[in-house]
Amino acid sequence: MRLRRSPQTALVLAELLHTPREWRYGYDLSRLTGLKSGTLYPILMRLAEHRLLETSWETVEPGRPPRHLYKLTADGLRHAREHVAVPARQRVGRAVLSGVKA
Amino acid sequence: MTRLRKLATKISCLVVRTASPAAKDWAKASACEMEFIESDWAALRWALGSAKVLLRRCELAPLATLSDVPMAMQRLAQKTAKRARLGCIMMISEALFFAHSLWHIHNPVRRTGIYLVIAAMAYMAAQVLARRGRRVPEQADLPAQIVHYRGELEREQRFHSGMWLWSRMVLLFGALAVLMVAGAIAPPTSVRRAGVNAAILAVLAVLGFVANTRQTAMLRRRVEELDTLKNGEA
Repeated sequence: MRLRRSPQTALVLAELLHTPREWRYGYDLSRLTGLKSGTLYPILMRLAEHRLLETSWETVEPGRPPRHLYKLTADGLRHAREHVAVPARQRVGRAVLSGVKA
Repeated sequence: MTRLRKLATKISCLVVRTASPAAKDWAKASACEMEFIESDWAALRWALGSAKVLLRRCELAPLATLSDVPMAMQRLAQKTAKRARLGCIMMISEALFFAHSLWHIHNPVRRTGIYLVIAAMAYMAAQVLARRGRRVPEQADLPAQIVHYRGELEREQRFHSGMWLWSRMVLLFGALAVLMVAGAIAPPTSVRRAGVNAAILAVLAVLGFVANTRQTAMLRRRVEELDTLKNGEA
């Protein structure tokens, strides 16, 4: 099954591509891409179903809930590099630099 | 904890509780993130948005290899059987509800509308029963299961599109439209009520059409996916 290529998916891929080796939090991805949870999570779910996204649960100190972490798989990295257009990467880069509101 | 925050937490908990097994982890992931959102309004917006993961329960998990077909076929059969049971109960209940109103309605146009609604319900129940999945042949090997699965997907696709879809839409909404007209022509005060009914009908028609179109597209994608896997392994 092909992955739906939407501008929002491209934004998420571009953001994940920004720091491909680091685990990322959902809320941080939401802030940096400007996507709402209702848009972001279905995209993350689709990416994970296509084995383009690796997920993990963070172990934290007692009293705090564990957080779900995301990072591109090797296939995901390849897919992102092939399909994410340069302007989308720059857009995310600009959003990071200009400081997106929380 | 503020009221807004409490509401956001309640919504998140509800989403986690009602999420399908496939989406549960995602619902939990979204709920846990809320702890790290400082603004209460942002937390509430986040919680409301996370309810969207519930929609994923309707979607099919992708097939990685053809060996996933038996499991996918089993899931489709279970889902279809469950929907058929639920559909039948709904149709029969609605038919009984309308039939009950025949006792105290004497207007011939309204009675015609009610008969039409009951006929539409019976037709829809028959369609739902005809939609029930066929049994997988005993001791079927993988190629036979793949053929069976493809057939079931195509049958489901037919149920959600073309003649099957349009015939039940036309029959049901035609019947309800007759009822509405009957309501409007009886006393002059019921014109407003007829307008509200028309709006409800229009919304229901659009929702029904969108849900069926979405389901057809999803099933079509699954058939394409299956064909791609078959061609790849051939």
